[in-house]
Amino acid sequence: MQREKSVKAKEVIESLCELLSSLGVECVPCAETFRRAKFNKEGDAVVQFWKLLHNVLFKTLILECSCQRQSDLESQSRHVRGALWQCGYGASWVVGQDPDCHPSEVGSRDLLLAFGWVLSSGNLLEIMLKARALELDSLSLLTTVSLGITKDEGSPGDVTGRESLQERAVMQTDEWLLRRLQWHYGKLRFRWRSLLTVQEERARILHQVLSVDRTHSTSQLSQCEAHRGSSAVLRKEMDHVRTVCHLLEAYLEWKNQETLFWSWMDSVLDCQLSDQRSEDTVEDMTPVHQVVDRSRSHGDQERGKLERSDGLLQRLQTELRDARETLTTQSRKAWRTVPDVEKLEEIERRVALKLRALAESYASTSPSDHTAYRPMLRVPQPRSSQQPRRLETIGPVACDGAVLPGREAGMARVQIQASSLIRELQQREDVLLGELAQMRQARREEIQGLTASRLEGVGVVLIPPVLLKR
Amino acid sequence: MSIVTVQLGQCGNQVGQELFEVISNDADATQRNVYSNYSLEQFFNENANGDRVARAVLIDMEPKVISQSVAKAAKSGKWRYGEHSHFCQKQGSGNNWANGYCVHGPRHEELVVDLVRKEVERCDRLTGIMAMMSVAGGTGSGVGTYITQCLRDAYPNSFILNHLTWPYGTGEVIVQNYNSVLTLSHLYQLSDAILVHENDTVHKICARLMNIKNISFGDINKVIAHQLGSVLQPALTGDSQGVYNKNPIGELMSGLVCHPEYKLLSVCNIPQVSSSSLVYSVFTWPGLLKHLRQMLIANAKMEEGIDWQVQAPCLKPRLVEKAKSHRGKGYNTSLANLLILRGKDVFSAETGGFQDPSLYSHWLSADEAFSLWKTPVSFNKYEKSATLVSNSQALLQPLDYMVGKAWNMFASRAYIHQYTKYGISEEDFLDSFTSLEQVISSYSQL
Repeated sequence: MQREKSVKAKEVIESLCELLSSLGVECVPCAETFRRAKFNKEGDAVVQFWKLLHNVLFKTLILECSCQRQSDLESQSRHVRGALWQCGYGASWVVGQDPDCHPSEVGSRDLLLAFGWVLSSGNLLEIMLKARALELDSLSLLTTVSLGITKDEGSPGDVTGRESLQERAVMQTDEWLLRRLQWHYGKLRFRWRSLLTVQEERARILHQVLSVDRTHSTSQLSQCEAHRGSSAVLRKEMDHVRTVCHLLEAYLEWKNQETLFWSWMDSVLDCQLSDQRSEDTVEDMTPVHQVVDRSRSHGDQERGKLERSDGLLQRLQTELRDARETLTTQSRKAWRTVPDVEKLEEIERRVALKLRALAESYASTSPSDHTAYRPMLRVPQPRSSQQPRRLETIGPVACDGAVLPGREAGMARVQIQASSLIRELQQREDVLLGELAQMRQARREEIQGLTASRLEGVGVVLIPPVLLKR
Repeated sequence: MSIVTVQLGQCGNQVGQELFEVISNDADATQRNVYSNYSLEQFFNENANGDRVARAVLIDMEPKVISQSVAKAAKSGKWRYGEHSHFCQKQGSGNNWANGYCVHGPRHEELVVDLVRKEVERCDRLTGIMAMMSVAGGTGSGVGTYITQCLRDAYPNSFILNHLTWPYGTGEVIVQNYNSVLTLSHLYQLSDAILVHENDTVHKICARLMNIKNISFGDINKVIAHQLGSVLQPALTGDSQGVYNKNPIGELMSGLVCHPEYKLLSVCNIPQVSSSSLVYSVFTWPGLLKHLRQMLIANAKMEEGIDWQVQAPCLKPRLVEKAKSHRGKGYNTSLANLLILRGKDVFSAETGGFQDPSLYSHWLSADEAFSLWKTPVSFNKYEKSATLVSNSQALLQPLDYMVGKAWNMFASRAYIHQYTKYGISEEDFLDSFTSLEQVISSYSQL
């Protein structure tokens, strides 16, 4: 049974390989290589999969950076990593801390999984199929027309004397030229269609001749061959048509067996998981899974982030309040003692220091902070007593080096939310600053009242504003 | 080199039957074997019994007209329709385009397309599909539009010509303008060319030229069939080197409707007289062509009552541009013209008058815009006959009238619910109006 299954899997993979090579992908590994990759074999499989990934991604994905076909493994792997990263594939070897680790250090199973991921995300094969079919099928007329119209004598642009034309808007002439072009293009299309009908008729008649005279079919065929040989263009066209047929057959074959391939890929994934379980170290937690989990718990993540920012804000508020109190007491002191310049400066400096400390402690969350909150990303009620163990185990995972890349990817994904977080924080800050200003105003009025009563007739007392630095 | 005709609705089935009658008779009348062979292969195939069977599919939602047409064809004894090449239902479309397009069309799509496919498979070379219908009713216009759409999907590279009969301006059906607007706007996207016959002008031809007292649809259809036949029968094109044109629809289109914004074709024909006076009439080519040219520029559809005051502007090439911008009112500018001459001494006919640059738009030179077909074989008992297929402003005014009427009704939301209940929204109406306004604007800027 098991054996039968594996034979079936081999067939499926072979059909996939067949399809890929029909699609014009170079260096398609054989089914055996896939099997070796499933068991994470070293050596040749790794290299072949790098090549395969490179070729597939090169064909389908347009990277914004340098897009040249690479020949050496090093740059191929760099390209693959970039492309996978762009696709959103977050495995450690793609977005890891050490992106320049040697290509051969990446396991062949990792590469196979990446290939499966690429295959399953989007309709990669269909896109390639379409491109390839367009490449081969010359009958689907391209709509590109060269605009190089020769202004021969008697063309409408030149119909009249140049004097009158000069007065005419150039735009109008352009429009006429455009219409003329459209007309001729239409004419060309009609002519093409007429030719097509002639060709169809020919094919039909040839078919009739061949089917009527079956006994002499061989000689007829050879005559046909000879006739066909006379026209190189026709032969080329025939080759193209044959290739397209072959391509479509391969695609059909693959489509019929696709489900089997994915169940095989599941088994690959199972292998990967069981390997991890046997190793039983948190470090080897598959990044792929994390990617999946993260995307699945996206909503939880959001909620967690919101909660985190809320706590942060509360703390910020209390700190600010404290700071304000200290400031006001200081300013009161400063006012009570006669305010000389030095003291004022010192107060200012202290205020600035305090505020900077405040700002620094809350502007960026330190890694420990970050990881401290991580468990909340996974579980809706992070502090619920039901899963304390799980929290404990996952917490440290987050701090571990193995998952750092994952976090990077996470950060990259968070960016949009981060902006809204910043916006919210800024709003809160604005509110707080407003409060501070109000209080300061009140204080100032209080002082003014006091000075008015105490220092009547002395003159103006200048109260320096409290500086706030972010 | 065969044309498959799809006859839709009452009008389409009647006109189609008349057309086959004309073609069959014309092919039999001549002694020229090549001509008649070409003609017959184009429109008929021969079944196992040697019968002449029209390459046609008959479609209607009521059985009456189809059985009439089939009976008439059989009665002629010369040709007939295919036994299984018609499709009809018990209940009509009630003059409602939406009913035809949204209900009947989709419901019977499979069967109808299958019929057409069978007919197409009988042709060695399919040179075109001609759908014949009226725009006023429900089946012809609604189902016809839907079927044209299906045919376009099934035969993306074939030439599809729609022959439309426009209703009387005074109206047979209260919602005819709605139906016309919806049909035209849709066909403009689907069809390669739209050949139009207006009931009003054909009626006038019957009344004044043919001297028919009580004009029936049969008389009108005969005139339309005559004009169509004179276009579609074999002819020698400019570069065919003595061989009859094998692809008349394709040639016609590549001469006339290459620009996707301009697809409306009108036909006028000269001479047209009653069969009793035909024997006593003598025509000369210069006389015929002079009349025909004036019919073109003054936009008259028959030789009687032409406005001879309308003059082509000055012919001096240096002044053409200036003259073009000072064209008088009533001057009919052409985008492209196809002149077809049939009959005796045809090679002596002088057609220079149609190659006048002042007849044509700014952006297409006369050489490119004018094409000429000739054949020494006389057509349908006329010793000499000249037909002009024109892509010109001739249909601008009736189209404008039609759209205007429909818009007025639409503005007061008259009868709209009859359409919305079948799934044609007001938005669809607006889209149709917009696209026809675009057509009108394109033609008026010629």
